[in-house]
Amino acid sequence: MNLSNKRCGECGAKSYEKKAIQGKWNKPWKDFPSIFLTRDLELWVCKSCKSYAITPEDSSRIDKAIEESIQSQTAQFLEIIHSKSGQKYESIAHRLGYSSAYISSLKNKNKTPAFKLWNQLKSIAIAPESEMEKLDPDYDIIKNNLLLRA
Amino acid sequence: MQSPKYDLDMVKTTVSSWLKGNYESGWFSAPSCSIDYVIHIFNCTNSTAEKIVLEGLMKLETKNYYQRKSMWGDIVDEYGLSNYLGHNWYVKFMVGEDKVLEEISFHPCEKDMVLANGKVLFTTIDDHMIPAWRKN
Repeated sequence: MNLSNKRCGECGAKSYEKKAIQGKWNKPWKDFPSIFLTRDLELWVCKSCKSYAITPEDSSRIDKAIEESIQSQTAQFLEIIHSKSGQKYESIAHRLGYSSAYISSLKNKNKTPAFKLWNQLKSIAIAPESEMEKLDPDYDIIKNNLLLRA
Repeated sequence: MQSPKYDLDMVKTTVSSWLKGNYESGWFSAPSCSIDYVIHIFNCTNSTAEKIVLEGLMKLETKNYYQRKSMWGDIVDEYGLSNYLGHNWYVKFMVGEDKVLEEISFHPCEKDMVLANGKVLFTTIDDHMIPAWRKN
């Protein structure tokens, strides 16, 4: 569908152009409040207000681009955690409370995690050595005086 | 009583064609007021949000008519759809000269609406559920 002579529903300007979007996608998707797109997504964008339009062929393309971006980032976070902490993927799965099969499917980009897990992996990937220890279910919270006493 | 500009049966025929995969049927000119809003409410994908909007449009009846108004020189029709997926909805669209449907708004009513037939549609979302981009 050609929108070059259509009016933008946000600002009223007739100035749509096809543009490749990459980087911050400041829109919600599933439970993600925003997305960082790591691959190009071509959409009709208003030159005046920078809003984009959605044509019927766009929705599935948007979903695919977002899903591939999240899957790629998740696999990279896991790779960073694995290589920097020296932990096996089974151990990472155990500490996060997920099955090895699920973590393996994330590593192989076959599944898309929920925002909570994606964000957790991102945080751990920043400092894997220290964060992995804290995630250990057997981590001694009493010894480290983490419990409040009445 | 003011009447809609666009024939609702014709609009629903277009939407039905869209749902069947006709990519020239329509488009979303303000996704922040429709697709993005639906994703915000239901935590779904774009494709699911699009389906929710289109199936909602298919449920419109003449009794849901709210008003028509001018928007940048064009006439748009506004409707209030009651009790669809747990919400009352504000709907706005127009049909271009090329017969292509321009879906502008489809989101839960942010304030109470009095439809053309006098029926009141109450808002079904709390203020904190209105997305931040609508408040700016």
